[in-house]
Amino acid sequence: MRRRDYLGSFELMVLLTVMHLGEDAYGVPISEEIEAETGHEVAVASVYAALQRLEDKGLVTSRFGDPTPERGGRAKKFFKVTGKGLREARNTHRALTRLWRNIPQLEGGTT
Amino acid sequence: MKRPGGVAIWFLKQLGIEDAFIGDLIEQHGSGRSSWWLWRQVLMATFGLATKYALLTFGTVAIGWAVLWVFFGFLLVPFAQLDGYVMAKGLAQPYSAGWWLRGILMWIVIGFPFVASGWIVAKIASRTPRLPVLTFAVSVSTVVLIALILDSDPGESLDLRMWLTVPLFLVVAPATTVAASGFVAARRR
Repeated sequence: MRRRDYLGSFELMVLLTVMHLGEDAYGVPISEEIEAETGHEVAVASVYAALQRLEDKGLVTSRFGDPTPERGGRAKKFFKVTGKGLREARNTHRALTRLWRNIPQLEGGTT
Repeated sequence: MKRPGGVAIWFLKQLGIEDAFIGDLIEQHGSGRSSWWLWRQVLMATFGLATKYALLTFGTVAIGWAVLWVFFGFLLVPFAQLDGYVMAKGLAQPYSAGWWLRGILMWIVIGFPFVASGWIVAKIASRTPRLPVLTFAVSVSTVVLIALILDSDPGESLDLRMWLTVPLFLVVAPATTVAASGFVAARRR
């Protein structure tokens, strides 16, 4: 059986957020959206580490924008999901959904 | 809009953290995040870097100290013997040519191992951020400080010699190390 790297839960969150943000996906909105969805503070360094891993796996690509004064003259690094990233997200979703269905305790209620 | 957190940003730059990440922190700090939040982010980034390069950092610091030990071993003993001879013969009266020559030679003998070790540490860690070099520089400062304190008599710890020597060594030793690493980095570009 071919060995494959599974997405970690945080990597998956970052990948989905990059997809959701589309053209405007860079460090700040990615961190803010994950914070808003999870209700927990996010280390920007963790987001960058996850993005680096996703880029190494070929699931996202990056490009630099123009430097802006409110960022101390530093450019934004924008991320975009690749075709491989899209397939990987779909596969993970399918696998998780199948696993979810087999656990009655997780069906319906909130407890 | 708040000013970018100067020291925090400077510290991240010294660690070689990528510009886009630093820009993100400046942008968020400028749009209302607290300085406490900024420093937490800096600490988490430093911790992440330290974890990622723990083995390299430990290895380069160990090699740096081995280089220091070897150079000091080879240079200090002959220098001390030569110095003893010069002093015994009265060849280094204050402000004489011998006195100046002795002073210059002493600085070369003491400074060269720091430059050489910093250069070697930077060579080994040249493809990575500057954490290993800075860790080595901090370890040099710490050990020099401890050695100087232990070397002094309890009653004389605040005398002029200590006040001059301690800051001089605490600055000169790590500065030569970092300067040597900067030289290596500049040659790579």
